Formats: sequence, C-alpha cells, structure tokens
Amino acid sequence: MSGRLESTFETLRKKKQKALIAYLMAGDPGLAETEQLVVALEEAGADIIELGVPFSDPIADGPVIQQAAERALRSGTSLRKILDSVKSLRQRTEIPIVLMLYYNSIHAMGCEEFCKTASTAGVDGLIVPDMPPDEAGPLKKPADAAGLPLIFLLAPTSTTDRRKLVAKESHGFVYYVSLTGITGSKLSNVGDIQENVKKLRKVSGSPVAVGFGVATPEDAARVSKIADGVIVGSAIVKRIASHQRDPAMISHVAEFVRSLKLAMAVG
Amino acid sequence: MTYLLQDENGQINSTHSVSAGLDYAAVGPEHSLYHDQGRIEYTYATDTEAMSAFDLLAREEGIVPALESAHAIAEVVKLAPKLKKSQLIIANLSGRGDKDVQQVAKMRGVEL
Repeated sequence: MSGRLESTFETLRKKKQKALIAYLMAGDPGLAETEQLVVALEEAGADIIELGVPFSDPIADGPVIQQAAERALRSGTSLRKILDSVKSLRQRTEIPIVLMLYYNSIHAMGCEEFCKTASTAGVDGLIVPDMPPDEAGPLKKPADAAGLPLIFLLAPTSTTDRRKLVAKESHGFVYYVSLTGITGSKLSNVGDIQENVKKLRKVSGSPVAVGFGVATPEDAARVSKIADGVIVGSAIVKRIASHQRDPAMISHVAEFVRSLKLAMAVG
Repeated sequence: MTYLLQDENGQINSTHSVSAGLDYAAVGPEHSLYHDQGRIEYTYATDTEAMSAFDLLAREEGIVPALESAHAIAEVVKLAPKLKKSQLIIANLSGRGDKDVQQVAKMRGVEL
C-alpha cells in the first residue's frame, strides 16, 4: 500500500538489516526542532520515523511521553500544523513517516479530511492505539481510499483470534507491544517476545516491529534479532527533554540513535 | 461514542465540579445515545445551586444527599414551580452525603 514503508522494509531485508523506528513527539519542544530531528535521526541511522501527535489523554503512554505531549501542546502544536510539517519535510527527506495518534484527534478533524490531508502531506501509515481493528470501521474506508495503511497493535495477552485479526487488518507492519503496560516501561522477558513474534509471523504477511520498553542499544540489539523492526520512543524523548535548553540537543539525540543502529548492526 | 468537553482539536478540557463524581470530561456512551434519541433531556446545576440544594434537603427532610444527587435536587427546585400541584417529580438520590460532609465543611471554612 505505502510505497515508502514497503520499500524500506524490502531494502533492509535484502541487506539483512532490521528497521530502526525512532519515535518523536511532534512539537516537543517545537515543530521546527521536530523537523530538524527527523532529518538528523535519518542521517544517524533511523529507518522509519514514528511521529507522535500530542493528546491530552494519551492512554497508552507512560510519564515520559505524557510530559512530552504536554510540552508539545503548550508550544501550540496541533494535528494540522503537524501535517504541514510533514509536508515541508517531504521536500527534504523520503524517510517513511507514520503518525501515532489517538482517535479523538482524527475524529475532531473528520476521518475523510484527515486521511486525504495526511496522505497528500506525505504520511505513510497510521498507528491509533485506542482504535482496535474491530472498531476501525469509520477510519478504514477513507484510509484505504487515501492509500494510508493502518498499523494495529498486538499485546502479549492477545488471543490467537486477535492475532489473526490484527495480522489481516494491519498493513505496512504489525506493531507488537512487548509488555502488558505503558510506553517507557522496562523491557521484560525477551523469550516471551520471541515466541509471540514467531506466532505472529506465521499469520502475518507484514513485517513485525516490536515496541514499548526498548530503551538501550543492548535492548535494541536483542529485539532486532527476533523482529523486523525495533521501535524506540521514551528513551529518545527523554534525551530531548533533558537537553531542552541545550543548543546541542539535536546532536545528542542523533548520537543516541546512532548507537542504537550500531548495536543492531553488530548484535 | 460519548460527548466530551473538548476543544476544536479534540483535546479534552480539564473540568471542575464541587462533587468528585461529576468532575469528569465525558458523559458516557449510554447517556450520549439517550440524548441523541431524545429520550432524556439533560441539564446541569452550578456548584452554588447544588450546595443550596444540599442544605435544603438536609434541613427539610433530614436527608444528607451526596453532592452528585444534590444536583438533581437543584433541578427539582427549578422545575417544581413550573408544574401543576398534581404533577409528581421523582428525584433519584443515588448516593449518601456522609462522604461529602468533609468537603462541604471545608468549602464553608468549618472545622469538624
């Protein structure tokens, strides 16, 4: 469905590499910085950017990303401004960009208008954590029409039936949540993750990316051995937060992302 | 779907109510549906109206209503003068006010 997302996974597969998916909260500390970060993180080795849309009630997120959302909202970030940012980023980069956003942001804008605008701007996929595939009806049609893949999440507690449903409905990749908790928790039993990813691979034609709890280069190396993509969020956002007033913030964050990619290549 | 207190971007607004049980930005899908079907008419009471209703019921009936239910009594006070003497009103006291006595005392600067 999405050219950029598909061809990125395909290119990596040929190179026997795994995708490093770097999460940024759009608008933290401001959208200008977010745009600079996207370009810098691509240069540092990120293969896909997951752009979080700040929301007042982010039910899947831990404190690090919650606080980032608060900072982003305070800086005046809105969904429309983020889509403008993606549009202007598309003059500088072809890195796949997926949006991670809660359904109310889409609902407020209107599913159809949102999907059209996002697709035209150059968004490559949507992760909507509070919208399971069974409830995706209102979004599915306009997303399909706009060629926007919906990426669904699967949890360690998901049953076989759910696994099949998510595998069938998810396009671009399947987002496997490594733990029963919120973003920024500690990575738990990698053996369990491996087993669940294996089961998922049997029913899914799409690549499987693992997120929640991947915080260090060592974590990224371990997860890259068992999945097609490694999603790192809170660990990146934390570094942006602690260097907020540092002119070298972007290079600090890029350095961290470089260390993640390096560990994945070596590991 | 539920009705929410939200801004034009769908960000959920913070709320305030004298009663903790009503200090919430959504009304819930069941009530939203009843509203859309026109089966129930929904209304509101201010903190001040609810507090007066709390006093009124305690004084007149010896019943201490929960602050949530005091909002219903406040509506009774507004509605009753518009009805005939023969018409009945049923108000649901869904909770007891024992739990709210501290809160009411605090608001009035009374030390218990």
